[in-house]
Amino acid sequence: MVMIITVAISASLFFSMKNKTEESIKFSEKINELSGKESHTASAASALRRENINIEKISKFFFKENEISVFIKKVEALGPQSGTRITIESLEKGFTEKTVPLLNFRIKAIGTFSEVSRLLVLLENFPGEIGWNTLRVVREDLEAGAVSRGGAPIWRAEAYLTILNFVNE
Amino acid sequence: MNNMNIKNWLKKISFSKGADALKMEITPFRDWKNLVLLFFIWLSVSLVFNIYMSIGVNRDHFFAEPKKVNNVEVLDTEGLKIVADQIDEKAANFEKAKSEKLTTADPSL
Repeated sequence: MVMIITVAISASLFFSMKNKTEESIKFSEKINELSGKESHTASAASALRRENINIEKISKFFFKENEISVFIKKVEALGPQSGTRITIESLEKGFTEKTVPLLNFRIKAIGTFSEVSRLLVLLENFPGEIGWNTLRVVREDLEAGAVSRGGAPIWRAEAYLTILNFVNE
Repeated sequence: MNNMNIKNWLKKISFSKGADALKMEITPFRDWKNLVLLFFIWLSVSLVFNIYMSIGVNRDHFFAEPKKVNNVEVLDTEGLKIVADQIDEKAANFEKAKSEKLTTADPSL
């Protein structure tokens, strides 16, 4: 009888201790979670302040829908810089397969071979994420009098490009 | 002398006399033997259980709940720096390309 009572008391003590411990663990976890959240928020805020310059730089790298005209002006400015006559023939928004916004555009540039080459180098190094879809460089018909001021043959470059640093906002 | 006593006592506690066919005879030695046996079994079980419990409690097997892993999003500063450096590099390359004089021979001539 004494044995049974002892076992019963032990079991009840065990379960009551288990319940109390579980409750206290829950409380301490909640406290840890709250204090953890607070410290994470503080560290995230300080990291954002620290990395502000880089974040600004990256966000400036992308241009929005209302900044397309600025982008076009930058591309058109490559004409005088390279000596070519540049025309933007088409411009259309789109999405990649992974629904990343992009901007497709087709340009035509006319100039001497050296000028066209220079334009292509400038486009290649253009500060943006440019993908080249197609590029066609052809010499204009000399018979039709397509010569430059210096008498060099005239070349025409047609490129279909995709801009990936575009944000559809 | 002492040895003989112990032997007798062991005999009494170990063997039933077996002469009581109707089981009417009082057999205190056999009863005590059973009680002592039961007590030691209980004691052993209780000892093993207590050792198991004590080890379990010390290792937090019983009461501690598995800790939740908080997946905290951390700002990838290294990645940011790499991307920012690439942007800087692109800008520098563009400036360099603008200032460089490129002379390419016309392949049609």
